[in-house]
Amino acid sequence: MSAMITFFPVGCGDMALVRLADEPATHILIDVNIRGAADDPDDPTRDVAADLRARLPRDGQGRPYVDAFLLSHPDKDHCTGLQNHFHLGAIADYPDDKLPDHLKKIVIREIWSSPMVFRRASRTHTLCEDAKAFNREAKRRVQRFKEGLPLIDGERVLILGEDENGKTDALTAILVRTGDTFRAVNGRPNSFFQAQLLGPLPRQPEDDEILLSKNHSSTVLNMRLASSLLRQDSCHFLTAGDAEVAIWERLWRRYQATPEVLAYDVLLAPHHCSWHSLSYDSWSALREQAKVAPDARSALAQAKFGALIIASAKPIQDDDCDPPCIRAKSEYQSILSRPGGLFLCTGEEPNRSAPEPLEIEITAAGAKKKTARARGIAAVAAAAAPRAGTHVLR
Amino acid sequence: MCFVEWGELIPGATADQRQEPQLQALLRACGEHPDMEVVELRRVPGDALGLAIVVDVGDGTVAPGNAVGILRRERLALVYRPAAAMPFEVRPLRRDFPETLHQHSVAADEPRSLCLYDQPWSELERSWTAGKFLTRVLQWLERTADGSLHADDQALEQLFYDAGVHLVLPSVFRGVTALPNQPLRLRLAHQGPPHTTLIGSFGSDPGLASPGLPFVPLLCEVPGVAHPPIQSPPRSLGELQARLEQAGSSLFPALTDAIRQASKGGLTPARDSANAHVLLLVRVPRLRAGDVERVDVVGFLLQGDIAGLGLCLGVLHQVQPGGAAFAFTTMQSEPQAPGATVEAWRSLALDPIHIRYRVDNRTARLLSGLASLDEGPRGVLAGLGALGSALAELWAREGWGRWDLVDPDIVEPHNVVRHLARDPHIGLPKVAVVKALTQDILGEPCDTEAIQASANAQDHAALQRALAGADLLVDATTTLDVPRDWSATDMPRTASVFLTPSGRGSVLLLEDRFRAIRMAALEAQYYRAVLREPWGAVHLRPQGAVRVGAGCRDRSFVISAAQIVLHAALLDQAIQRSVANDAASIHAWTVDPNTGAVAFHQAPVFEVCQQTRSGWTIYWDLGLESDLASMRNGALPSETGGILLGVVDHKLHTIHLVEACPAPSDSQATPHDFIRGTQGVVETRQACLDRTQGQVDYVGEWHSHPPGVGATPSPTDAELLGQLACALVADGVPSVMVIAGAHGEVSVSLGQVL
Repeated sequence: MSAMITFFPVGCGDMALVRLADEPATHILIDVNIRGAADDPDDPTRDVAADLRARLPRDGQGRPYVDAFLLSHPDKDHCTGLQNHFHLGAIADYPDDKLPDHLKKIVIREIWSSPMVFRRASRTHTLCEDAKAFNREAKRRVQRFKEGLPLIDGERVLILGEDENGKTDALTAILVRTGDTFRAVNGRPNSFFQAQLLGPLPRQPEDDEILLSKNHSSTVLNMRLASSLLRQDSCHFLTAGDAEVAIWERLWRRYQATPEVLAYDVLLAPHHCSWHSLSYDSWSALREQAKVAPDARSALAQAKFGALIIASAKPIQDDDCDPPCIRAKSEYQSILSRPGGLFLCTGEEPNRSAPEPLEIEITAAGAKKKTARARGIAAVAAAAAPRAGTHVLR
Repeated sequence: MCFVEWGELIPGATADQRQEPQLQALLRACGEHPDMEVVELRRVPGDALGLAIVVDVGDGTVAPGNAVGILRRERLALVYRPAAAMPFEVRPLRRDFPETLHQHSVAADEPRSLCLYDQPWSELERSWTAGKFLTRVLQWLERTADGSLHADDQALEQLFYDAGVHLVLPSVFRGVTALPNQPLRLRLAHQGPPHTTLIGSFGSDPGLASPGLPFVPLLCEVPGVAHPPIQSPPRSLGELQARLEQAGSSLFPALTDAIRQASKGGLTPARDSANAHVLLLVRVPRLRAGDVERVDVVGFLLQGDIAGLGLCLGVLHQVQPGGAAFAFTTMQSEPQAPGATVEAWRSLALDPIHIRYRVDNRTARLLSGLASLDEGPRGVLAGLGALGSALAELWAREGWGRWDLVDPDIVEPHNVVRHLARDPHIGLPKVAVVKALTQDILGEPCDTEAIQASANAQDHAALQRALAGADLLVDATTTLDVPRDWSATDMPRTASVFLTPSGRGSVLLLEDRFRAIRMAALEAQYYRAVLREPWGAVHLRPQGAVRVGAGCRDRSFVISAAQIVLHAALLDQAIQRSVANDAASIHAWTVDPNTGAVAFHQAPVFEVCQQTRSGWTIYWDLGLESDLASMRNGALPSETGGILLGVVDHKLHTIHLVEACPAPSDSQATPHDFIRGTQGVVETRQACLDRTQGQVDYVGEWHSHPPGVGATPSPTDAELLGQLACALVADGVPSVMVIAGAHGEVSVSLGQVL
């Protein structure tokens, strides 16, 4: 099977599944945002849990699994549904083997966690229950590692970015330092994958720490996805959670001499296409007077030929909303103008009324939308018809 | 990015300002489409009514590194030309937009044109909408980029666009690698849309109205070409060579070799080269994944002759000015392509010609979808009436079989209503008319003999030759005598076809390949089905006839040409299907006059037994024996019996037993004797006569013997047979007595008053 990135329509939130081109395919899930409405069969919100499960493999015991789960940062719109749909706790205690497939919780073979991101998030707000559960699970696995227990599927953990005060110094075997490149997924080197960890930045002076915390410090990864063993460089996928302007400025200052580190074929527009990733100004207050932060823009402007920028957001309107912000979209489109790229929004694919998972296929010729959007008759026939009848709706 | 400035910009144009509804709809659809961005409106050069919506297009399905060179976003002119044959066209405006498969031919200085549809506008406009058009455009870009627009099972595209001149060559040119040694002539059949058509014929072809222009074909085969984008046809020899070279092929040395071959012994250049033409046929093997998928033949007309071409290419040389030109081969050097020293050949003008072929029999079979591409039988078709002539035409069109035609009749005035013949053919022999009307349907001459004779004539040498040389005889005479006479003679396998008198039904009787069950026996078994099956009730019932002359027999059934064509079509396919099998068959079709539904009926065919008694041959079949055994067993321990029905032919002295009827209800039966009653017997006989148009009648009696007793007639039985014979002498017919004994034994006796 070809490599693929699937962006699920989860409103203003993130949920993306990376499938590698190996066989059997390795799956890396970045964030989840399975809202209650999506789980409610009577609610028209897209059932993204079913969409996700349909794309996941089953192990020898019939359990759905992801090889790795990355939480970019612990905001609600990046981890909602974690406890409901994923098995947290010792894999030996997996309780769902006798349940029907659609009720079985998803096994996370390896959890990718960043203690610095958690630390900064905790400074600014109270974590939601799913975020706390993620943190507990990551800590449980780290503790297990410290105790020297065997590294098995469902118990692995990878620490992305060193923690403060040398807390991760003893965890070298499961630690990726910021700036490092790694190739292993679920403890195994993978010939179809490579990623460079660009964020979170390590512990900074306190003033900077406050700023980074306010700027939604997130795990920033630039993944290199192969379409085949011979085409290692088929797609660079840059994903950065909700990272905002100050973080991008620092990234640019750090990498402006080697901008290829930030180059992408597919960019998940940070913070759901927020203006705050590109500017310190308020979009709603200043509208077109708001100024772009040049360094942040430069960091985000390393679009390769024909690049795609994906906003994981509700449909983008010409209004005061932020995120998603129409001005941010315009700025991204201007970035894409020279390399001849395209801007897409998960809430608008294939149409605004009934969005579906957006699949980006990684081919030898680069990243492409797997299927053209269905419009007109094809879209109507494929979707449930609006309610018909004579009863009066409440 | 560089774009072509094509046409004149219309500043500030919006959908609302445009009057044309279709353009308005397209403009609106572009504006609403999430993957399109309207840039501007332009006037289309060279078309006063033509307008173009310039859009930037891209939906993400084009991979940026595609080998073809389509970009993620392309600038396209969506052209609307209301007066054009195809009002909507797409022109990519990027200056370096790649040459790909599925593009239209355009002038050199114009933007390329995408080929989106394979239907004409007249068909397309019924389902065309602006939205679907935009979807199509996006699909073209996506599929061209990933190489899937041209499906794997789709034929490779032709090398060059159609130049608008078609030359139809004799079918022998199809697939030839060497040219037939006959003079060819070219005549203009049609000039103007849809395309100019030239017909190339051998000078000896009959019926040529004008001698036409003589031309000399020159054939060469160049190295194979894979799947380059279709190109405009070359207009000079140099252009042709350049296009072939671009595709990895070359005219040389194939062309020079062909000229050398044609000039063996020397060629004298034509004095008047303006009236001489060479038809250059270049065979180009087309490769898919390295294998030859087909061989294209591209054609060009060159003014002049082969000698002139050879001299120009430096292949031929003249010893004396004006004398014959020869090819000299130098021992020391390899044959070479014309080099830089001889460049005049490059500017030799070519008229590109789209080569077509007249249809030969094999191609006709292929196009007709015949199950087998075998040439079909060497046959005799007897009876060229309405049905026979329709079958002859169908088989000629399908290229199936070679048929000698046999019929004694001439075309009568009333025949034209449903016969292949037309009014001017009245009075001409039907065989001659049908031969004339069918022999030039295809482009391959058909070897047909027209024999004006009755198909059962004994003393007609040509007929006997035709019958003896055939491997299938088809009797469409709608007579009883021909199939029965053929049945009595050693002949090839025979099929008999006819329409019922009403025109609503048709029948095919086909002997088995080894003629173990001959036509007369099949006729009897067919009658049994007519007597027994529900469809037989009205099957042979006449619908009415009209007088077509003064004689008693000058009557014609009321049947339309449509009914003839319908049944001819059914029989045509049934014969082709059935002759592929060895077995005999009895098939019938009935058309419901109210709905047009056709019902198919198939009767079982049984092996035939025969016995000759006193100069008469009596035939019956295992189906009848089985019926007798069954009725005997059902009546045991008593005897049983009934009347026998059959077909008597007093010319051939044959009796075919058709049916043994069950015992009438008033019969008297004991374990030792049987007296057949009379209840319903007259009615049964009459119904039988009605259903079979008098062909099947009472021929005698049957009865059974009790267990332990064979089928040998007892003295009582002999007495019965004698009584029957005496009674039937009044009608001059013999009587048959059949006895069904134990263990399936059957005896057949004939009673005849001498």
